[in-house]
Amino acid sequence: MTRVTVRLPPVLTQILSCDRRIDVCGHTVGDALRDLVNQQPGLALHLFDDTGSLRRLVLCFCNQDDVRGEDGLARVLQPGDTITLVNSVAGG
Amino acid sequence: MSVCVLIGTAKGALILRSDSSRGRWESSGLELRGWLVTSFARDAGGRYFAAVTHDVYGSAILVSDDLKSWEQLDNAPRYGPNETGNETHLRIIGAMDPMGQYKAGGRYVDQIWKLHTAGDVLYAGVSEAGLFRSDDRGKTWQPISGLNDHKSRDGWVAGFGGLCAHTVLTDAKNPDRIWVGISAAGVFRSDDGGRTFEPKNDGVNSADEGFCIHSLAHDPEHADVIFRRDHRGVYRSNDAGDSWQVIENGLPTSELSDGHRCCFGFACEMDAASQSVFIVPLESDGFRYPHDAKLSVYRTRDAGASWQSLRNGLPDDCYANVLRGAMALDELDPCGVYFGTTSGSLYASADCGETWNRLASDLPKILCVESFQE
Repeated sequence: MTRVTVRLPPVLTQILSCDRRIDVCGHTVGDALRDLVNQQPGLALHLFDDTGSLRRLVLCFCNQDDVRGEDGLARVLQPGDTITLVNSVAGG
Repeated sequence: MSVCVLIGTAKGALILRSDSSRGRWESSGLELRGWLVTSFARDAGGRYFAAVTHDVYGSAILVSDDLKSWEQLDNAPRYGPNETGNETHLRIIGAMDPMGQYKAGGRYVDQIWKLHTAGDVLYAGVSEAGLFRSDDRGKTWQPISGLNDHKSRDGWVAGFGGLCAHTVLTDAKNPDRIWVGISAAGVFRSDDGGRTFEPKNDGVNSADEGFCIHSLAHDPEHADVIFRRDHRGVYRSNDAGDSWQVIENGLPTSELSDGHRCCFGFACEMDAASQSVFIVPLESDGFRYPHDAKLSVYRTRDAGASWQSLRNGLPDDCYANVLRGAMALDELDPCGVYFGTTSGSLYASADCGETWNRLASDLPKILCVESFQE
């Protein structure tokens, strides 16, 4: 299992009273997010929709890469990777 | 005894507190920042509930026993993964992926519109329209299939705000009786604790798009007399919703987009002690601000036979809306009345609407207001 860090946005950590950086373990990004939700069960509502898919406007980066454009949640992690979850932003 | 007024806005919540004189108010400042706060409730045990929604991160429910700190519950109402969504509703809420692709198919809870407590039961009315109940203070939720899978569902039409179950009433003397308002499917009533529901819209002026219920109010101890604000007028039922009559004598009316003339607006609340009903009329569905920009609350004390304009202290230059959840009453004598506008002002009356003060301005858009005694 690979140990990585997940960075969360303040709008989520505020209502969950959790840290902005959480260490998780997993072979893939998907594994890491499952471990994240195990540690913070309240996050499941916010990251995954009613069908169990990653919410449509939640962006998931592994280091600098948007994983949606690559292997998705199947991307294999390397030790020390940082997963960043952010909301899509637009407008002025 | 103190009074607190909970204000849900498009960017968080504020709590105002006062003693029973309701003369001086203290604000908590903005809490739950960044979240649409769409509904508040308090159960018999004194626990407070807040429903929040975020365009990206979905909906959740938070609880507080002291209104000083909030804890998010791990669960919230959710549909099953295989339930089919209403295509119009999905388009209205902009169900797109980050590449702008329309995401059809699934039925999602995208907002909790109403939290309602009845005894030990917590109800949640949601969009896409449906009703859920919790018997353990929000830890787990069960869909009420009698409504969510209603035989008429395929014919339900989404309103301007989507297909949403935004209003829930219950009968204090008969826990099996539940009313739900859905835009734009109308009012549904259950007489068997939610196992089955029947539409209750006889007498309400309808358009091709269905029955666009805006809000309901009643005295839970005398639950069969119900006041209804609909897209197409103000109504009362004396028989638990079996039939409805127009009660607009003395109310300002305007012509809707399709030519129908009625009193338009959203909020409606009832004070059981004085049997007073309060509404804020607005000018037509095309404009949605007070008539002649003169913000005014109308009150009836005779079940809608006549209405009185109450605007001592309210502005003459208001171009804002008052949303369906944005009015609340306290239980003091005389009752306090509180309402918020979409332009972020909160108005309060400590004398049943006779005089008004602005308690706050420049807040974010106010979505809901509730009042509780502490």
